[in-house]
Amino acid sequence: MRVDDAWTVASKDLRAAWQRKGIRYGLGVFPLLSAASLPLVVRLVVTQRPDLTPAAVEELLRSFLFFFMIAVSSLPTAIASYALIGEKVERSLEPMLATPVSVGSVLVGKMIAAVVPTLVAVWTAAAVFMVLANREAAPILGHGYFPQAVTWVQLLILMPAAALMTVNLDILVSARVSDVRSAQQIAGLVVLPVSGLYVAAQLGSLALDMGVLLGMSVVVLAIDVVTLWAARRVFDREEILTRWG
Amino acid sequence: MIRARNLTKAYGSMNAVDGIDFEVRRGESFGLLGPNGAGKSTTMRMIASTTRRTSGELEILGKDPNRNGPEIRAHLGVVPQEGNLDTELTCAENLYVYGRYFGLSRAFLKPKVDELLAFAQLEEKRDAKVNALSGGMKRRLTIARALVNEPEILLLDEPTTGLDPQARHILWDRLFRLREQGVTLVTTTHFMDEAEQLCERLIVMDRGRIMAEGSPHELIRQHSTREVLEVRFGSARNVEVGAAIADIGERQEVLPDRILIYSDSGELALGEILARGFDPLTSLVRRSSLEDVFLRLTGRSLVDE
Repeated sequence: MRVDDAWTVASKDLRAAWQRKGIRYGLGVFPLLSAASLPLVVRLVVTQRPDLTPAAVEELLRSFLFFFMIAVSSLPTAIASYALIGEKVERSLEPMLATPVSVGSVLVGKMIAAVVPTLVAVWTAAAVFMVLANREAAPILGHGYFPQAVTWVQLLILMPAAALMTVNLDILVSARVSDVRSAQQIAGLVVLPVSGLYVAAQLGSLALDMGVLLGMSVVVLAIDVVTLWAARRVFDREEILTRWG
Repeated sequence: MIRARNLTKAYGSMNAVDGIDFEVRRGESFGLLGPNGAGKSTTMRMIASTTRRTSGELEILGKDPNRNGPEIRAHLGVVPQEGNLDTELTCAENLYVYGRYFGLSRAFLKPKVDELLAFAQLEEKRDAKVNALSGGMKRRLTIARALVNEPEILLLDEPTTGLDPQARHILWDRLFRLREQGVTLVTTTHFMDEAEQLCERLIVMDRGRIMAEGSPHELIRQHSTREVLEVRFGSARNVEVGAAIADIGERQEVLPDRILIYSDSGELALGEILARGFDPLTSLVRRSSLEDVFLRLTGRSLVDE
């Protein structure tokens, strides 16, 4: 695998993705709406319930930050499905595979193209959220809450791992499906467990502390390893040229 | 440049390519002729080092594609059967991005893209998206893309399928120019006229095997007569009349819509038919083609009817 080759594949996919309005809006609207609206909810709660304890407010802020996990688990599918299924339908993977570029480079390039813009969008939105939430929660907390050590775990380990997991699943799905929307729907199922965890956190059944987030990170990284191995097996040069489509 | 010995590719119990032998020399224009499913595209994929052979030997530029795929692919240009340009990129971007896959530098690619757009007569379409191009333009751009790495061997899989006659002739002209520049061309086709135009030497394939090998002229001389008389008596009468004139000419093929009579003089054969009191609805005397060779060798037409 050559980094240069992977970057060439990634930059082509990024350029193609950026030309799609749906992808541009998806990357911009969902994270930024969340970044703007969640602090408003914090303001509402703080003004309506001045009796809340600082610990309860901190729990609320942590669970709201976890909301961005939903974005990071769903957004890569928009790009990856076009980069994989779209190219499968148009057969534009074939000429790439006729060059010296290794299959590993193609795979990594497509992962970069799907994961990097997602992380940039979600990290930006999370940063905006944290700044605004710090301001809104100040009347009760008396100080800014973000960032904590647990925030870095979520942003720098759990989110990239979850985005990668989604892309790996997209690759696995793309070997069996020849329709972008079907692929998005199937791969979109990964959002369900993440949403479940968010709801559990909101209901107070799950404490998003350091131990839980590290545990989640280990589980998602383990899933990454398994799905990456499976994706590499599916994404075989001859398999794509003779059996895909 | 290319040497295959007992080359075989199996998918399950079916041999798509079944123990074929052939050689392609440097600078040669070599063809694989046969109907759909003959094994031409599979042979091409093995030469392109994108499909591994099941058994036998294959050497491309002195290397084994099963072991040296990337090195071999660096010296090949591939024009696949189906249009697969990147529709989201412009013409120039298609060439540039493809060149980057070969590790070519930006400094090399900038003038190269201009040169290839000129070769493909697409300078004015430089910044146009692929979807805005006609079928012939897309095909020329695909060939230009395959030349971005200055390949020693250009593989063309059914290069003119789906093109109108004018677009085909423009494309053939571009390929002639490449031949003149010394590029080795390997072409698959099921068009006899294309094989005759483009290939100095070819193999005729059917069901994964080689039926015959030689130049188009040699193949026609060996397996057919100088001329062919095509006569039509109506689909209901062809078989009956065919039996009555079976001794005319060297050989006869009764097809559903016409009778082919192989003879060195089509006019003489037609005269004999008329003398026996049979008056065809239409008659045509033409020179033998590779289609006739294929029909002789396999008993089947090149194009599914």
